[in-house]
Amino acid sequence: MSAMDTDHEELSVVLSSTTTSGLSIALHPLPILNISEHFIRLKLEKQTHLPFTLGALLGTQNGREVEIVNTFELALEDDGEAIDHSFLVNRRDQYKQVFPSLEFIGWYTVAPIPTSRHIELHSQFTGYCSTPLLLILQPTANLIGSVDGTSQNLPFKAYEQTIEIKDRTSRSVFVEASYTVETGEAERIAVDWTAKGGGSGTSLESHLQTQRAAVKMLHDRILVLIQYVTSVIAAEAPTDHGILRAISALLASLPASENKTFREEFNTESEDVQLTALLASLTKSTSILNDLVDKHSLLTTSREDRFGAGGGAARRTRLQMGSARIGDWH
Amino acid sequence: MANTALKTFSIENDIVELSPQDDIYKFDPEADRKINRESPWSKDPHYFKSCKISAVALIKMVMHARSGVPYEIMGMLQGKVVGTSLVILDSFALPVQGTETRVNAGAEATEYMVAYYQGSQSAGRPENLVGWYHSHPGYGCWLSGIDVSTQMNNQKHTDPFVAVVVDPNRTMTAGKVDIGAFRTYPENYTPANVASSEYQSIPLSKIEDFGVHANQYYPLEVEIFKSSLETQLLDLLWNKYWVNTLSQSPLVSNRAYAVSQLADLNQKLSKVQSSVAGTKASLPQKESSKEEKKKENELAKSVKDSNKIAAEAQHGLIAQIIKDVIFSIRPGSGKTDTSQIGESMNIG
Repeated sequence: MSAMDTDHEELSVVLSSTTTSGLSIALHPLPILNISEHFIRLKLEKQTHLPFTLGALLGTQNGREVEIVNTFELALEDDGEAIDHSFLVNRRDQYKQVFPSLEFIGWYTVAPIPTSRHIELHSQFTGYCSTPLLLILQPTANLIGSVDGTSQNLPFKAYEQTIEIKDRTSRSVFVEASYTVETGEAERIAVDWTAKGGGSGTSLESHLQTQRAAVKMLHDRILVLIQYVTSVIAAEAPTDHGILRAISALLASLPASENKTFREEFNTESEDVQLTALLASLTKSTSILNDLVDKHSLLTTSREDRFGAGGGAARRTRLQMGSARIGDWH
Repeated sequence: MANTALKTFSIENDIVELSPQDDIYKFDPEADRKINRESPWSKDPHYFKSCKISAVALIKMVMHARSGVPYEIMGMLQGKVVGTSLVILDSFALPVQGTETRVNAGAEATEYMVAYYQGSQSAGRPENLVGWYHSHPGYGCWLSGIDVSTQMNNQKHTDPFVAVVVDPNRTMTAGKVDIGAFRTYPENYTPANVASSEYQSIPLSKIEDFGVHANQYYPLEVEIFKSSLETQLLDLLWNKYWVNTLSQSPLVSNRAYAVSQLADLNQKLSKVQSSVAGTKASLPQKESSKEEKKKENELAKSVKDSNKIAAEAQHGLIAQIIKDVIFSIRPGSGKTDTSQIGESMNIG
């Protein structure tokens, strides 16, 4: 049921959470950081708590699958209501030149919840994209949510526009869409590195640290599942068969790699890696041997220079001594 | 309790809550004009010591570089000068694609740059252009001969300017971003002491270009900064993408690059084969000459390269084995293949 706010000023423009959009949205970290940086800069410039931030979303859309990859800022016309369309077109074309696969797929702003003003702005974007998305950063939720520490969700919400028919009138409303966070490998490394402050340190150490952090997260999530199951057994928590089915399906899929071809591939790969290590240590030993030979020849030649010609026999003994010394190495 | 009260208070009373670390994002036109008038960098070629890059600019650069592999790509940097540090606040890409040997901005790119810059002014990004960046896919962060002359030109006409180089391939294999920021010395200026730089493994085809110009520029220390909001968001983001960390395998994604590195090492070693007969050991030097870096023979350099390749491969394998152990143990069997882990840990 849509929210029944019957006083005539402000009808909620968001359908209640029982209806969700059918889109599956993948959000990359870069748009998230872009939007937050834009917001912070405007905050600093205008010195207000909630400056009006506006920008465009770039990405790809394949049917119901949408991927939001990048963003850029937008300007408003002087009256504060209409968007600067020429600027949008220019910027969009510029980005098209550099990233030909990305398209305009929506817009973003910063607000606690969408309002009718956003509906109006939204209608101005429909000229560029058939179904633009709205992505909202909710700053207040972020500030309060972090106090109790249990809020683990990003303070972003995505909305799609739809028509609601009520009392034989139709109006545009937003319906919330869920999203997942996707990253490419390079993006993940960059985001991870900046999260740690961009320092260095031996690469083995940092590599192991990232792995350990990821495994720890997995462990924590598994603990949560275990806790849930034990409390169900002890009849403390309501039994949700859906969740229990999912858990048992997960367990049934372990061990994940009994497949014979997988094993072969895995073994080949580890053999290749060990071979590389072997070659590296062989190279190192040849280099050390080379140094040894150099130093040895340095010692023997300098002795010859000192003892001059009379050292014919002496030279031979010294060579023998030298080689005997090397022989001791075996 | 008090915390919540404080936060509600600050929201209701419209107090602008910003931590001091966010000040760097503020654009102060007066300070900007002042420092541009003084331009202390024109008197001291060594003026800039560090380069601070914002998280957003960095990620955009890495993504752009990655999307352009195997071509070199380039773009511009916007920011300002703060003390002896060049602060980069944003980056944008230019529609230029480099061939193997040249990345130069032609007329079209200059038009794009000007149009973009003017657009930025109206969209609330008033910072000046303070640098350019380009990528060296797979061959490290340094300035080639053409890069050096481009940068010298830039520094003559549009100082303050910085050259940033990013290597997306090395980033993927090493698991951390390979980036460097450089300033060239003006012509006819030789630095007083040649600081020995950290050894980088450079492919055979580029090594001459690297050596010839290595003394014409110096590296700046690179620091990354982010706003308080970004820090919070990054923490929250981690909650979502830790899955990707576990599931992605560097061994698989970097196969092509690892193969090319091995091929290059092979070439270097065959070159070494001819010269190794003539190597001489050096006597231990007295203390006075410790400033000069001991010239290593070619074989020793190849050893370093091979160690690097092997270490990176081992990292990838460690990740795979960890996953194997986690996901392949049959519940209740208790038998884990720990011997395999032990073997892989015996790295040279």
